[in-house]
Amino acid sequence: MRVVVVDDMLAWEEIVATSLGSMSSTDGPYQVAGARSPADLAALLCTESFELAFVDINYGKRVRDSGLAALRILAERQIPAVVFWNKPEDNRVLFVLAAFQFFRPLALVPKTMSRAQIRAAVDAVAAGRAVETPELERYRPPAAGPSLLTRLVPSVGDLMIWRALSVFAGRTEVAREAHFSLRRVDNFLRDRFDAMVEVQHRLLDVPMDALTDVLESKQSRLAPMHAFAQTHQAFFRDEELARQLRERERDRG
Amino acid sequence: MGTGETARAGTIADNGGSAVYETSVVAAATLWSAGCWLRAGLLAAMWCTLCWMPAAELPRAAFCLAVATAGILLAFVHSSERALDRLDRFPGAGRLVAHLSTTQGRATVDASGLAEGLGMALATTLYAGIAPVHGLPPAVRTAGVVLAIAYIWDAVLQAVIDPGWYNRAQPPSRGMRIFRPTIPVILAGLIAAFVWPLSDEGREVAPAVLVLLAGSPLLYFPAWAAFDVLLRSSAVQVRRASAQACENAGTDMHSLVKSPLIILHQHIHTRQPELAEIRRLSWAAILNVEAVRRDLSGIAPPPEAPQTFDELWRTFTSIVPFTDQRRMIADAGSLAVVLSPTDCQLAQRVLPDLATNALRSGASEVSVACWKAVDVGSRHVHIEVVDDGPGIGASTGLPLAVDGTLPQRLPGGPGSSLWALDDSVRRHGGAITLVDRSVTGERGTRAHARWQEQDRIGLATAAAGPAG
Repeated sequence: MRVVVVDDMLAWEEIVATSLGSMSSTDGPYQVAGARSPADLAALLCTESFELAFVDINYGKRVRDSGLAALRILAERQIPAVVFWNKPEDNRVLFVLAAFQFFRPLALVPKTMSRAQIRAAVDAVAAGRAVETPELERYRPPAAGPSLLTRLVPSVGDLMIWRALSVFAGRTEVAREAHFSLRRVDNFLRDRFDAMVEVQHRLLDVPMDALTDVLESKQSRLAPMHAFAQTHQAFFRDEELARQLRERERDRG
Repeated sequence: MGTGETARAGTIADNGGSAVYETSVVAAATLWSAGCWLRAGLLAAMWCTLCWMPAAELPRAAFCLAVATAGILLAFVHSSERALDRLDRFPGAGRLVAHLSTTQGRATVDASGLAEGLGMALATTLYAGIAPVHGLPPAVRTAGVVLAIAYIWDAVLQAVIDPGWYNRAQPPSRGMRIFRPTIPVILAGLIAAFVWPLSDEGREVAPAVLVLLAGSPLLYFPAWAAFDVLLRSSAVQVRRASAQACENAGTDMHSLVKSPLIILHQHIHTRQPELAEIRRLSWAAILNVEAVRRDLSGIAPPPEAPQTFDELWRTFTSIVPFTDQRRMIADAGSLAVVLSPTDCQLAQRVLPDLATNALRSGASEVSVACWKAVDVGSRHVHIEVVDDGPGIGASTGLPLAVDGTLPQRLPGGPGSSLWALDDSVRRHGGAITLVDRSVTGERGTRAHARWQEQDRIGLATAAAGPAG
């Protein structure tokens, strides 16, 4: 089985290679190659084919594309993928949520896994078995009803407001930047707040009390949503996210 | 909002106040310099009006304009460090220099402002008011009074928007704060008093012009408001940029520092942690910490710049002890070699390993070179470390082959750092070779690493240009 590791850090490719026994030998059941970015992956796939990909979420400041772009490139070539990430990355949880929403990767493989666990996960994928990790259920979209990501960013218009919120903290500025009316911004703040609270509670383990205080004290939702948008601005500014949302809207007609 | 976010917001809010003051200092420096030149031009034009004055009036006119000229010269000195230094050399000028230096950035009255104010008050009386000079053509008189009021307008504008009003460390006194909004009104009154046509010559200037001139200080209110809006906006921008910088720094720290530390931590918890691997991983972590520090300090090239061996060399040499730094030299041509991300990370692994081996062998000089060359149809990256130590044969006690290499190719065993390094470069079609230089009659070891260039998307090729 040929495995590609899409990660800006060469060390993670070598960890996977060592785990699969291909670091110093090419005779084993697995061969491992690496790509440092989605563009590098696309170039690699022009000459080589793979049966599985390990996909990181972020490729450092030198690369603009995120793991969503890598997952799309792999999905276009029907190469199964697993998301390879570090759990305590607060500003990346939405990427993982989107990865499972748009591309349905096979598993969520934390980088903290031991080499034996990585090997066991790849063996399971090779044997066609499901790889269940404790975190997976948090990110997998529900079988019925709107997913958490859909409730957070249902349309390209909402994405524009999130982007504006990542820069501005005033209603008027946000409305002007996103090219929407104040009423539309107010509706957004009302409708998206619960989804934001759920992301923080369910994915980032923020206590519910701290979040509901805002509602009970009738404080403006603008400040916490601005802070949230700032933390996740890389996600809201991701071009692949916008592309997927546009495609989804086009499919809906 | 989490605790971290609250703390961050607090820090940024603190920065906002100083950002307003610091922005006003930067803006005022430019505005002050431009204003000085503008006022110097206006004053020069006023000196020109002396050409139309009767000879009897010239001493008075020259005296009035000389006071203003002294004021503008002091204003220039006020804004120039070099001029202050030069003035300081004059005997007895020390107190004046100290006064001018210490009134910068504070809302207070200074000598240059007083001299300019007095000079222009006297200059205005030359053209209008109670006793203007006689014999001036009405057009020149009107021009003179407009020039004088324009001068005053600009000089006082500098006072209205002085950075001292925004200085939190040395805030203006309560009296000065009350005085600030009254400046336009007081100045309007003073101008009206000075230009009021109380003489036949004064009445030669059209009343509409005098009214406009007297009312012109009221324009300070919108100018002040606009300046404040710009300052507040810049503080907001600083806040946003700080938040963005914190976010980016966190991401960089995470991606560059945490990964090698997690791998190191995982390795330590394996059944048989290998010292060589711990050494390699800790080197990677230290190098990455230094790379992040250089990046956050603005020393490293910007992220859009290609990655070069030069930056890797600088990062590496800045973390080795000073005594080792002095023993290492890099080939000048190597520094410009552009490396793709994978090649850069391989080089980041090879360089510390080979160089520290050479340093530990007791060499007095370690030379490092990096280059790219086409070998057997594909492009390879080469790194070579040559030292003048005892040589690999003497330091390992192993017999050498005829060509100076070791029969087992590399010293140590599967657990050694060189073997691990060799595994890394072999995955990319390369190898590590050690040659004892005694076979060529020299002293020391030549350690050479090469691997196939990993630049699928042409990053390094594009940056290096056609000749690269």
